[in-house]
Amino acid sequence: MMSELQAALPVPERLTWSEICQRYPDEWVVLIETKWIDADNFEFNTALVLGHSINHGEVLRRTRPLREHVMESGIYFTGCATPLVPSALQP
Amino acid sequence: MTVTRFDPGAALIFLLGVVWGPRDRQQDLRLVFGPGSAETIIAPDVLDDIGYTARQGEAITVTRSVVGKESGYLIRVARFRALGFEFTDFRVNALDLPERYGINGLLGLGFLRHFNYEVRSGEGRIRAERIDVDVSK
Repeated sequence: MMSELQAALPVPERLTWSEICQRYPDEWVVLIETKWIDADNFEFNTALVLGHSINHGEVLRRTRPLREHVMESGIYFTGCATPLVPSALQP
Repeated sequence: MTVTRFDPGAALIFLLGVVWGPRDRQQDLRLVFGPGSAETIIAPDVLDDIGYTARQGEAITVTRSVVGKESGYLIRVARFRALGFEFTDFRVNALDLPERYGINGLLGLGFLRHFNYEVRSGEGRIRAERIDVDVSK
């Protein structure tokens, strides 16, 4: 199944997090086949970049057909998140 | 007791979170450590993507913050994991976070209240120990 998935990708890219950040700065990336060193600490060797976009929802929509064949994926921002986060959110 | 590392030089404390959909599909996220938030927040499009719908929500929420007022909904996810601990049937607030924040979730007190935790900013570590709290609340 994964070979079909990789065949469907224009350019399958297995990269480190540092390489991903350099190649797709300030974008959302969807990663699959992540080779975790320690998942709880966000440490991985390499992952396959399934898609990227400056828009969070768009990259999820665009990669959904391919991700339906995998059980685990991740979506992360490669840039510096703004520190302007509300300190007290109440539902 | 678990020890979770974070980048002490970053503007925010980022942690990995994992949420599972109703059919066991797993989505990994980078969450901001947010004890100032009553609930753990996850972007609604992430939840939609793994099979949840707003119709499954328990209640509508209105969140007031420095950027204004946002509507969301409370929903129970099948499984949720962060800081090395996992809960089932876990309640989160599905709430859009501004795109420019670069975050798609926030680890709030709904999760953190189940732990004694220690943030060691100088070392970039959070030590967490599970305490006996009724997780159904």
